[in-house]
Amino acid sequence: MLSHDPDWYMELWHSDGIRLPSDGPIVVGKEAIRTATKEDFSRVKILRCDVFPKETQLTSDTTAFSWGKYILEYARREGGEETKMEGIFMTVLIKDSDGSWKMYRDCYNQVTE
Amino acid sequence: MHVVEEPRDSGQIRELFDRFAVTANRGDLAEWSQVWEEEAKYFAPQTPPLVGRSDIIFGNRKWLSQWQHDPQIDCDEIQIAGKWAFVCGRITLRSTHRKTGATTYTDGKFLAVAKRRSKHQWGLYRFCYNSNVPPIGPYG
Repeated sequence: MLSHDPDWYMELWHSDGIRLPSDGPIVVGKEAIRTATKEDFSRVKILRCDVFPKETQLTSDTTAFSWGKYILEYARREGGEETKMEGIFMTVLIKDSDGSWKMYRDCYNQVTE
Repeated sequence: MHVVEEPRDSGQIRELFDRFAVTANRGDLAEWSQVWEEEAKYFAPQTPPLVGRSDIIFGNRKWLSQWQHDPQIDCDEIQIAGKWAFVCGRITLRSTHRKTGATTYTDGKFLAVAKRRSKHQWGLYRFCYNSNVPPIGPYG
């Protein structure tokens, strides 16, 4: 995220991935996620992205889920105050044919402290 | 993902979410609590994680008793793998305070993990949802 490189970020995703963001419509498929991520990166500069998994549980040899806390700080490229988002994420992961784990479903919300 | 989707399982999972919605609508905390697995975890917007059925019940008692809810839960995708199921969908919720009449709306998406209890029944094991509009928290 900090590199603002959508290709690197998309390496984390399964080809059939679905993203369920807290502030927009459901994004279906890797290419749609790539397009949405490119748009995000063109609008904002990511200043901080920390992910703190609290639990990861295998449900089979090739499936797992994980949840935890995230903190995201960003600033709009056109100017404006820095924004801090934090909340909880839950992700379903699939082991790909090359043995790497990929994000398959990802849902996150916001928690204001 | 190796998925064996049985229509019977999908139907039982839709029943689970229907029970969630109907018991929330009735404000029936006792029945609503039966939807959850003992070791369930609940991730609602603007709320710290609720861990375990007893924590979920305690954290939602005012949410159910003080507010009248009109939930609509649509399971857009159900994938079943053995004793686990992954469910994606949309949730809308109109909540009206029983005393003041104040109304709030939740319009969001959810990702859930359900766990098979028996051949005929599933329980909610993890439930994470978000909202496109500022929601109320379970503490009312």
